[in-house]
Amino acid sequence: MKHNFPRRMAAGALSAGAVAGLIFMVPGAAYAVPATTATTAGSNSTSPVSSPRCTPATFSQAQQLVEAALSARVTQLGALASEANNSANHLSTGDRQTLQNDISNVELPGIQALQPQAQQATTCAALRTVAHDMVFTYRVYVVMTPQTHLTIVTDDETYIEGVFVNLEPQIATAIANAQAAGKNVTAAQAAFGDLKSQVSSAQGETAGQSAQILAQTPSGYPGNWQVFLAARTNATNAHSDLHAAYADAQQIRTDLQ
Amino acid sequence: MTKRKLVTATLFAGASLALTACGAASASHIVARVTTTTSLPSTSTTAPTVPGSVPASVPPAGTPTTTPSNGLSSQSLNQVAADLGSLDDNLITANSDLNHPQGDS
Repeated sequence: MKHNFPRRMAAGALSAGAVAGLIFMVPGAAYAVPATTATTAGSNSTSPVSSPRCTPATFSQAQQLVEAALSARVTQLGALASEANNSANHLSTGDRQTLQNDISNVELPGIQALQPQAQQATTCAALRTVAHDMVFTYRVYVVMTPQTHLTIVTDDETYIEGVFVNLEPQIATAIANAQAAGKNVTAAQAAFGDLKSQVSSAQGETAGQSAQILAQTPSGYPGNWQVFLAARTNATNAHSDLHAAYADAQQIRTDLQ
Repeated sequence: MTKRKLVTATLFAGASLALTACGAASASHIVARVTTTTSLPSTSTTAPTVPGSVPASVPPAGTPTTTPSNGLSSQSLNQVAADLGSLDDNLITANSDLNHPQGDS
């Protein structure tokens, strides 16, 4: 949700008529929409991908686009920093520090340092250099963003797994007590067995995931996209397991009442 | 003729009673199954949709938890539900990043 605004901003900028002929110099595929535009508009160009759309006549518009793209990235990184700092999530101490450092001490100052360079650029070549750094050096949207969110998800799951593990002895005792009191605990025992199995499965899905996600760097893109997709699959499976474990816990509680 | 009509009517009445009974049994069975299947998810997704409301349902400090006797207090489960709710939201965000990335930047 927090990303809607910058995305809309980017989408709005990209859909503006002027943009069509301008995007340009930014490593062509930096923007999803202009990739098509560049091909169309670049029909008179011999090299569509790197074909510059920045000309002396359109320089001012190109400059505004780069400045807007930088500003959107600052906003995005600010949102990511807030999420990394948010104590409501269950990021481990080490993972939180890693994210905070990457976002606030590397990415954000790096992008912010490009802003005056874009403002002071007087040639298309200079603007191109700034745009290239903005995309290739920092990868705000395709590395930093999924990296932050997937780490939060995985650490949240690890935390919930721990909560269930801590509950297990209490549940075992409760079932034993109920059984000793003459209660039929067959269903509760079955649910408890499933709960333990689901939690164990979730643990298997999340083990080592955060470290692997956090090891990804902007320079590893696009190869590391598959790492993020695999992490997403594991996180989704663990999420299902934990919901199933919760349903088991509810069932046990009902059975023992 | 009167006797035949009476017999026929009795038979129809009996048959319809039997059908009604079957229908009722069948219907009640379906309702029971639907209720059972939907009750668990609806309970577990209540917290996710209104994450902010979950803490409110937790007994205030100093209030004894309701079922220490069975070892699985409502407070414990409420907290797990709240954590699962946050997890749901965060997973949606992560999915959005990967399903709709902004170009390759």
